[in-house]
Amino acid sequence: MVTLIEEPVDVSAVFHGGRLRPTAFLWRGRSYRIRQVLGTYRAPKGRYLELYYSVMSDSPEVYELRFSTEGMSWSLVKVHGEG
Amino acid sequence: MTQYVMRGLLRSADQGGTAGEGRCVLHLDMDAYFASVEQRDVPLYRGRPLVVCHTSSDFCSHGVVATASYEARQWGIKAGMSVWEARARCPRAYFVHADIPKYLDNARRILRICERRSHRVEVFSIDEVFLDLTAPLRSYSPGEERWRAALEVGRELKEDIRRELGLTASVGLGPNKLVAKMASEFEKPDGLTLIRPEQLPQVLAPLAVDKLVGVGSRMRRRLRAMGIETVGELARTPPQVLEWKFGVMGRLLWRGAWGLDDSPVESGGEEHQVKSFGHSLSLRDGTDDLDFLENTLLGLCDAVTRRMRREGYLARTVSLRLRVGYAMGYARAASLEGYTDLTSPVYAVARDLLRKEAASGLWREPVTTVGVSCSQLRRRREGKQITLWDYLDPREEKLTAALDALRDRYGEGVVTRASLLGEFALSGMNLAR
Repeated sequence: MVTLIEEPVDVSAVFHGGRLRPTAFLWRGRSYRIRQVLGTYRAPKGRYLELYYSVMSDSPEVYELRFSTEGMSWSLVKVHGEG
Repeated sequence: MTQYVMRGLLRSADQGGTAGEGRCVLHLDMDAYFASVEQRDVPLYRGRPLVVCHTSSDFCSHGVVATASYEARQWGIKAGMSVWEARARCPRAYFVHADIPKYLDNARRILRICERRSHRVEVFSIDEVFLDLTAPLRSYSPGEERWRAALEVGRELKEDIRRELGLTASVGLGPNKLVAKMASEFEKPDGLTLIRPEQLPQVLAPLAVDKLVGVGSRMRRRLRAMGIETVGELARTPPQVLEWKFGVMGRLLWRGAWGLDDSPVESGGEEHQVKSFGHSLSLRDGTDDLDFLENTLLGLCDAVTRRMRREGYLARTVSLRLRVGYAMGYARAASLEGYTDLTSPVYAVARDLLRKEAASGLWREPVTTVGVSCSQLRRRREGKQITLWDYLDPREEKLTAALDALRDRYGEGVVTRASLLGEFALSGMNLAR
């Protein structure tokens, strides 16, 4: 089941080798350490760019994070989980 | 891929010459592409029935199936089916929204991998690519040695895509695009199939006639009425008979049945003569609601003219394409007074054509596809003829320029017509993207 979230989140990330990689995020007061980045893609939005990351923490859920170059902001877009 | 595209492929095949003659073409077809990308990104979906939907509903409660995973296909779920029917067939399947930007980005990466193998790469659809391997393999002697090398390229290509993107593809190899495409269908998923020119008669002849590129259910019924069930029977039918029955399409079918195709692999970087801009939309259950059809048409005209403006073209002819029921598809065209790239003159012509057709009494079944295309093009830089109306009322030109500037800056979805905020706007296609 997919749950649409679209909420701003705080994210820790590293820039390495010309790439941006999230390492942890804070959502609704809870911290999630990113164990695995399963997939990424980029989508132009007008003159800005959006980078999407499908990530896993310690639970089976997959979180989709978005980094937008407009305002340099992170959002949690959706959560894939059982249900 | 639509039948319309297949006909285009067959039509371009009708340029004389024979199959073989040293060409080596590879067709790459991603396996259940949208579903495979989702299964790769979400481990929960792996090995389970997954249905990727075009839908406006947050909960995927309606809309149409874009792609079904192979696990979902075992339940009879396939692309184009309503989500409602898919849910009835397999209630425990996972249903997710189609994420077109994600699939486009992966398609670009696939294309980059393909371009390492050949400079001549043609994007046929979001999940299909043709590669012309003739030049890269010319150092191999024609025949068995070259085909073995082609198979090796196919194997490496599949492996690169699997390793770098975690996706599987089926590859077909043959002496032309038509045969390569049919070959890629032979063994799915994760297949690698070569059809050598000398194998063509025995491979093609026993196939059901609808396995031939360009033969859909309607053509199959018409051929069956003539006693033609297999590709071999089609090949043995005199081309004059097929031409008499089906016109130009008859000869194209006959050539296809012999595996004949000289159409080149056209890479995007080459200079192409753009002949038209068009968009169409399939309506899941069909409709004869004229207001809805006109509204849909307005959205399609918006999308077509936006693309024309972005690429710098003006058009003079507007064509309305309709499919009534699941068999009768046809087009009607009319000319504008002058060249334009604005929505309202294009829409006015398309809407008049639609109203005329609606009043004709020909629609005995609901309309299942509506489309619009603009042709008879010229470059905008060649100058736009200003009509008296433009001179008197330049408001639409100015408004359109302002809206285009907004979309260029913030993305296509930033502004839309209120009348398009419903089903159409969210039917899965951000048309002008």
